[in-house]
This record gives sequence, structure tokens and C-alpha cells, in this order.
Amino acid sequence: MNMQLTDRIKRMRERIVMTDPIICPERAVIWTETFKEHEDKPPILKAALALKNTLEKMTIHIFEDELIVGNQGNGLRATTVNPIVNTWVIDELDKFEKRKGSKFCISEETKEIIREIYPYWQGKSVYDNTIAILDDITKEVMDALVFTCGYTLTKGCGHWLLHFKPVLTGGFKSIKEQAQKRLAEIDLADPEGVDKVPFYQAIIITCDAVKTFADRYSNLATQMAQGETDQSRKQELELIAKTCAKVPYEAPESFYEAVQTIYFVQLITQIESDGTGVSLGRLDYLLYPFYEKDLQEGKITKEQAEELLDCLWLKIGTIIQVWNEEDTKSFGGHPISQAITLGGMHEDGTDATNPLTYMMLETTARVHMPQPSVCVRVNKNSPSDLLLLCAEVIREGLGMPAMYNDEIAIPSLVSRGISLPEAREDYAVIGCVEMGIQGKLCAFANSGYFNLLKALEITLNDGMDPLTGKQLSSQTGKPSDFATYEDLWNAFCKQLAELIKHQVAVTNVVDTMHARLAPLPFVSAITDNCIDKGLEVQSGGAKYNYDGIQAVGLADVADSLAAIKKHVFEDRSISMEKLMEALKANFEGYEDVRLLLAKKTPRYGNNDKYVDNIARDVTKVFCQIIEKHRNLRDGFFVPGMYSNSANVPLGEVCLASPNGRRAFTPVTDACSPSHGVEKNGPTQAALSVANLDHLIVTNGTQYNQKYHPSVLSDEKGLQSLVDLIDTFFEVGGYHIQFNVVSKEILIEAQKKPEEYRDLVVRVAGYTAFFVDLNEEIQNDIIDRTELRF
Amino acid sequence: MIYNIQRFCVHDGYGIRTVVFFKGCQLRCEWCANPESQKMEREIGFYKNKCVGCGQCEEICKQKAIDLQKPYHIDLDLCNLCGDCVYVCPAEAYQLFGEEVTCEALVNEVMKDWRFYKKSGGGVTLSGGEPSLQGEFLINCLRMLKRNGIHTAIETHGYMDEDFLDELVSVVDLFLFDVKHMDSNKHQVGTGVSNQLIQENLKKLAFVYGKDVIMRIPLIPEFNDDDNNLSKTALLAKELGLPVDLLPFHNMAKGKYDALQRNYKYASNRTQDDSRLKEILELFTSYGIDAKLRGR
Repeated sequence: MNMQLTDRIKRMRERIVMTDPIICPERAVIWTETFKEHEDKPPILKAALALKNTLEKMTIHIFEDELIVGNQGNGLRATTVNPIVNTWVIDELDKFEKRKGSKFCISEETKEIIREIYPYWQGKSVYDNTIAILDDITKEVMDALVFTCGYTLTKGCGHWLLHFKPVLTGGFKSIKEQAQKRLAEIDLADPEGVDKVPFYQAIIITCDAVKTFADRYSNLATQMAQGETDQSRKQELELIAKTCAKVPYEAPESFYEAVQTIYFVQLITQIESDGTGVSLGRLDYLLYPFYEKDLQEGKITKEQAEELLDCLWLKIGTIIQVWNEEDTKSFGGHPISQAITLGGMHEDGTDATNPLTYMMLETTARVHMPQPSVCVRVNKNSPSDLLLLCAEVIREGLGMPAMYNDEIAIPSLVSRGISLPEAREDYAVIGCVEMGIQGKLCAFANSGYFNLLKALEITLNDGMDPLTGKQLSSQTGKPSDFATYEDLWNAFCKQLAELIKHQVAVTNVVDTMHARLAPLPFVSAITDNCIDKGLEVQSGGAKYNYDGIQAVGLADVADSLAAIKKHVFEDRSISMEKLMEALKANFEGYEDVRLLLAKKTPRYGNNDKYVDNIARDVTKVFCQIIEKHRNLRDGFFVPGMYSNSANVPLGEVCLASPNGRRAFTPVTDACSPSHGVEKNGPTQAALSVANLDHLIVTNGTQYNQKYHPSVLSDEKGLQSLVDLIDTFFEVGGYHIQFNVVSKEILIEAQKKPEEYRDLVVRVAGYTAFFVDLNEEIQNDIIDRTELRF
Repeated sequence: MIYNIQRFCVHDGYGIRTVVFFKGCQLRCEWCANPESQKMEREIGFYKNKCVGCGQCEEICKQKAIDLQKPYHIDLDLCNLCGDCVYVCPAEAYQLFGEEVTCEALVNEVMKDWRFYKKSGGGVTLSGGEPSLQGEFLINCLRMLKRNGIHTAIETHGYMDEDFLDELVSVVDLFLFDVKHMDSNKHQVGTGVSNQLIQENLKKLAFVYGKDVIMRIPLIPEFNDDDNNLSKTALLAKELGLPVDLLPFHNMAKGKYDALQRNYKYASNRTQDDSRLKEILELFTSYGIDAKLRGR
């Protein structure tokens, strides 16, 4: 593995890492001015003009050493804000710099500017218009954190899986020509034609704006070249000038032009749409023809291509998005989730790994940045050396690449009506784990988290939230009314259906408001079939449309149901009344009950079918409820099972639960077993997780394992990790990622063992759970940690 | 009687393996890293540094064997090993060592990982303690594993009679065979038994049966890690044509000795430093031996 950074990349990386992110008001100002000026125009035209003005007027930079250019805001790491969706910004201006995590710097001048422009957006935002229309009961259920909808209420949709193909083959010029042709063909005698006119006009304005934006970089580079004394930098600037004068308006011909094209498209999407999870999809697959041709013609060396990829990764790494403070709890750190998907297959099912797959993995390890987020698609024909390289990169401690199973994703997509060749060729990861179809999809993939444990709590309280005493849902029976486990199960299923419906309602209202208030002409220009239909992407223009809702707290619910089934209904070792008293008391004075529930119950994560099949049933019923709902864009809802860090706030509203969990502590993350119950090691935990029916969870399941680098110190360790991944996929797992942890984390784990129960370390000749080791061994391992971070 | 099952072991023989630790051993090696493995009987340990001082153990103990004021809580003479304290302890400070299992239950348990063995070329390693001490149980387990097509390995001190060795050979694929000292007297002092029978068994395995054998050398400070003894060990490996795993000393067992209220002679010894380990590795490789540090 080539880990040697060039001096240029070293300097660039250092500058990025040492720069604190800032909030840049330029986009918000220009957007506001444009909307004020064009209040009479249809929303899609207003949006196109606002984007045009932004791309024409925003401050641009070509930073030192750069080969790939383009900046998001006025600075090296500068986020923009979008007042149509980021209504909360005005209330948090003084908090950005004081946050515990995900901090941003903001100048007094910026605060002043934002205070001036925000009043204009009062009543015009997605948030205001959504809240105005929702039922009181839906708002109450949302306020109780039965589900969250924070993301799409306060951010743009994001989660695009950008369509580079039309840009790489024809440039924006050909997109503009298509729009012009369609516009000329419109017959206003056809009533459907009326709304198409401003749509095509918007596409044309957008394509021209893209050209202007790139031209500005070309001119800036020319100017800089004129003043440059260093001859080699002068040549680089001249090449930048030449490249930006051509792409992305014209189609790229060289690898360099193609890489610059990709970055422009990624960047403009971020500037236009304000959202995370803007994903790049299959870059190895899309860029390989350019690389292969240049290599054959002697126009590029492997080393030059490697440096360009390093530049691209660093440039993607400078893109940043801001969340409101509340959501930083659910999305800890700066999870911008710009996913790149490597590997995978061709449309005929043959493996598609190519030399760029390996080079991009090495770039990931070499530049060592938290973004972009690199994913690898694995299928039964993936080469073994690819998997070994993945293991080597994983050892570097970035938690990347995350591994995805084609043999689950492809049939899962096909089951949702996507054709087999498209599922094979266009499947790529959106954001975290969501299964997407590159360039053909509008997915509000993160339409919020559903709190499974809260739903169980409401079931056990006959439709009432015991935290507030409010009746949130229908009465489905008091706990003492349940004569059998099946009675309880049926009541739980009824509650799930009723509560999820509220989340669907919010989602459909939010989606409608995004489509009406914040249309996206740039994303519409590149997404199939928006131009054919003459319809904006969030209004139904895309070929495929779905919304994703994620379940959180699976392990808590499965373990709780198993505990009730076993102790209340089968063994009768405890009465339902006593259980409910113990939960109400948060186990104070009921430690015997808590021990029985926690220690004498089969727990998810140990490959025990008694509880693993309950987890499977919960997954199944959740998916069945989600998938029967339709969305705004004549599409459907897809179920997901991931949590980011939403398991913490969702746990804060749940009282003690029947798995022995105490009140207000976090629920389990994603598909993972509860902390402290995986007594049988990583293989058995993986088999429990794989026992879920991942194929029906089209919005993706997420499974994390944690290791100390000692496990992976040699070839044998790496090969064993590959074998573990391979086996997990063979038995039906969809996603797995590995956290190879630092010394700091180990010290933290010593202090809070309950949170690090699943951390695996290698001790002498074997592997063990870190928290199971005594202090001496723990200290020894801490001393042995040598990870570069 | 076993005391632990460790899964996803990647340095105890080929592939991904599950290691089953049998309880009981005839030897009493002064450096033993698994003191909980030595006695045949069930035992209880108390990890002082995990204790949060809640007192639930003292309350539940019917034998009145627990006193929070005592540094190691348990009066081992009064304790009847019922395990109530283990159950109530929220900090998992108590641990019982030793569990009676049937052969069927054990094999079922380890077979849960069969896909990982198959994928990785791994299998099951029976370790201890000394598995051969539970002869009939061991042979039955191994037979059942072989009927299931599982690769089997045994970690053994090699101190067993010839007839039993003959029986083992038919059901064990890989022997991880400890060689502790070449000098019989020294061996007697350090482990409590002479090395004569052990070396005969090792030679028989290599020459008569031609089995897959890896010699494992625990490197014990001031006992066997001098050049003189290691050269003799290397000569033996060369003569037998066997690969060697060199296992550096560690004193991580200290916590377990404390938990079991036993003295540990090697508590303050340190592991060999990296340069010495490199020298030792080179000593073996200079004989043309396939030698590895810390197992394979």
C-alpha cells in the first residue's frame, strides 16, 4: 500500500486540518436579494436565478497548491446557510462557537448580516409551513420523541446520489440543448405544458450559471498565473485555467478534466441544496475509462493520477454542513456523509473492480480524512486482494471502508421495482447505508428516526406516554389484560402502525414543502427523468422516488419482549403487575427484578434463536408497516435500521425498560446488540445480526464492530477480518464497519466500561473484550497502542 | 469441566478458531498464565478493582463467606461456590471458574461458528489447563468434532502415557506442543515433573506418526530464555523438523492470582524487550527453523 503523501498533499492536508470551519453568509444574502427581486416568478425560476446570482457573485478562491479547484463558501472550510430550511440559525447565532461538539466560528459581522436577512423568510420556510399544517396529535407524538423529523425540517433533503454520467459524456452544454429542445416543443394547448415552461427556463439558466462559475475560476487562474514567478506553479495554474474554461460545460476528455468535473458537480449541489449525504457513488467505475485512456496514451502516470485523487479527496473533505444544536446530538461530529462507493458489479453481474478501486482505497488511507466516506460493494466474485486491501485500510483506524453486500442490496432493490441491470450497475450507497440508484432517484433517505422502544413503552401503558401522562395513541389494552405473549405482540403491532402513520404524515408534509419552497434546478438538470418529464426532482421528476424511515432501539425491544415472554408468560417467575411497578420505579427497590430481566433472559447478540427471532419479527413488522405507505412523488416508503447517534436522545425520553435498561440511558445503536450482552464474541454477535432479514430493509441496516489494532497487526489478523466479513455476508448481513480504536478511546473505555462492552482487543495470543480484562492487562494494551491519528 | 470458551481466536493455530479451556493440570508451572486452570475443582475469583462497594454480595451470601472489609472479600473456606454473588454483582467483580458440560453441549456450542472455520480454514483448539487430564471427555469431544468435519487442535504439555497418545493421534489434526526446558532437572523444578516422558511423546508424534506439530516455547525469564537452553531447544526442533512458536513472557496473570488469593512468583518480572525477542527469533531461524513470535 502506497502511504507516501507528496509534499503538495502534505501541505494541503495540514492547512485543512488546522482550519476551523466557519459560517459564510454570502449564499444566504444573494438568495434573499434574488427572491425579493423576483417575488412574482414561479419558485423554480426564483431558485435558478438565486443559484445563478450566487455562482456569479460569491467570492471564489484558488488556494495554494491546489490542482482541483472550487470553494463552497468564502474560506477554506466555510459552510453556507439556506434560510428557507435553516430557520433555526437566527436563534443559534451566539451558540455556534460554544457548542460541545460540531463547533463553527462565526464573525459578529456575519451574525449582523444574518439578523438582517432572516426576517424576510418568516412564514416562507419549510419549517413554518409544515408546523402550520400538522395535526396537534401528530405534533404531540413528535414532541414525545416517538420519532424525530429534525433532519428534513431543518436541513435540505441532501442524500443525492449524483448523476455524473450525462455530465461526463455531454457536459452541461448537452443538458442545456435538451432543455432548449423541450422548451421549443411545448404546446401550451396542453395544460401540462404551462408548468414546464419555467422548469426548462430554469434548467437553461442553471446550465449557463455553471459555465459562468467555471469560467470565473479559469479567469482567476489566468490572472494568478500571470503574477506567478514559480514556473511549475505557473504551468499548473495555466492548466487549471484551460480546464475550467472547458468543464463542466463541455464534456471532459482527460482524467484530470473528469476529476475537476466531478468536483464541480459535487460542490454546486452542496451550494444549491443544503443537505448532507450528497453522495458521489461509483467513482472508480465512472472515472476508469478516462484513466485507462490517458494511461494508454501516455498522458498521465499512475503517480500523477494518485496525486489528483488525493486532491479530490481533500477537496471533498473541505465541504462542510451545519446542523442545529439539537440535531448535533443525533448526528455527532461532522457527519457530512459524502459517500463514495467502490467495487461492485457491471449490469451483467460480472465483477467491476478495476485499478482505480485499489488506488482510491489507498488514497483514503493516505490522506486520512473523515470525509469522503468510502464504501465498498462486495459480491461473490470480488477479488480476494481487494478484500485484503480493505482490511489494511480499516486497520488505519478511520472506520473506512464500510463494507456492503451486493448479494443483499441487489435483490432488495429489485424487490422495490428496480430493474435487475439498474440494481447491479447503478446501486451505490447514499449517505450512511441507504441503498440508492445513482442518478435516477429522489430519496428523502433520512426522513427521521422511529423510536421502537418508546412504542413498546406506549404499548405497555395502553396508548399513554408514561413520561408525560399524555394519551398519544389508541387504547390497545392494559398490561394486565394480556393473557398471552401474542396479545402483547398484537397490541405492539397496532401501536407501531398508528404511531408510524404520524411520522409518514409529517414526512409527506415536509416533502411537499421542500418541493414547493426549495426547488432544486441544478439537481433536476442531472437527474433522470426530470428533463423528460419537465418536472423538478423533489416534485416527482426523478425516475425512482422513495422516503426512508429508520427504526432505532431494536436490541432493547427484542430483549424486552424476550424478557416478558419468558418471565411473565412462560416461566411465570414474575407477574406483569410487579414488572410494571419495577419499571415505574426505575428498578429502585426492585434490583432482584432487574437482575432477573437482564441476566436470566436470552439476549440478542449471542446467536440465540429465542430472542434473535423476536428481533427478526420486530424488523419484519416494522418494514411491513413502513413499506405500505405512499409518498408525495408517487413513490413509496422504505424501512431502514441505522441510528447515527440518535440512540442517545431517543433513550433520554424512555423510562426503564423490561430488558433491565435504566431510565433515560441511551437505547442501542443501529442493529447492534445492547452493550454488555454479547458474551460470545464478535462471531456470534455477527450471526445474531445476520439473522435479521436484511433483504427487506432497503434503506439499509448498519452494524459496527470495534477492534483494537492489535487484532489486525499481521497478515493472519487481516485475513481473519476478511473471513469474518465474508462469512457475515454469506449468512445474509448487509453492512458492516469496523472501528479500530485509539489509545484515548481505550482510556475512556476503562472509565466507562458499560459503553464499550463490545470493544475487542488482542491480548497475548488471543482476542478478548477489552472491558473484560483486568486493569493490569488493560493498561498494558493501552501502552501498546500505536495508531496514527 | 471447562472454564472458558474463547471465540474468534486468530493466533492459536490455523484460521479463525474457537479455543476451549479445560480445567485442571498435573503440572504446576511457576509462571502459569492461567492460574484458574490448574485445579480440577470449581473456583471463585474476586477482582478488587472492579468492585463498586455496593454490598449486595455480602447481603445475598447465605454462607456468610463475604466480608466487604476484607481485601479479597471471600473467605474461601466458608464459600460453597453457589454463585449468588456473581449473579448480583453489578460490576461483574466476581467470577466463577469451572463449569460441568456434556460433550454434546460443548460441541453444539463450538459448532455455532462452523461457517467461520470453514471460510478461514480454522477449527477448534482444546486447551487448558491440560485437556488430556480429562481423557474420556476429551476423546469423545474430539471424535464428535471430527464427525462434524472440524479441524481439531490440542494445546498440551505432552505429559501423558503412551496409550493415550496413540488414541489422541487418531482424532487430533494439529498438536501445539509445549517445550519448556531441555534440562530434565530444571524442568522438574519449574513444572513439578521431569521432561523425559514429554520429549519421548514429542519425538513419537513427529517421527512415528508424522503428525502436524508446532512446538510452543513459553519464554520464561531466568528459567528457559537463555541462549544455552534455547540453542538446545532449536536443535531439537531441527532434528524433528518442526516449526516453533515463541511466546514472550507476560505477567498479565497477576490480577487473576490476586483474584484467586494466590501468590505469583513472577508478579514483578517483565516481558523480554523487543531486541532480545529479535535475537531469540534469529537464533531459531539461523537453524533453518520456521519460527514465529506470538503464534500463528
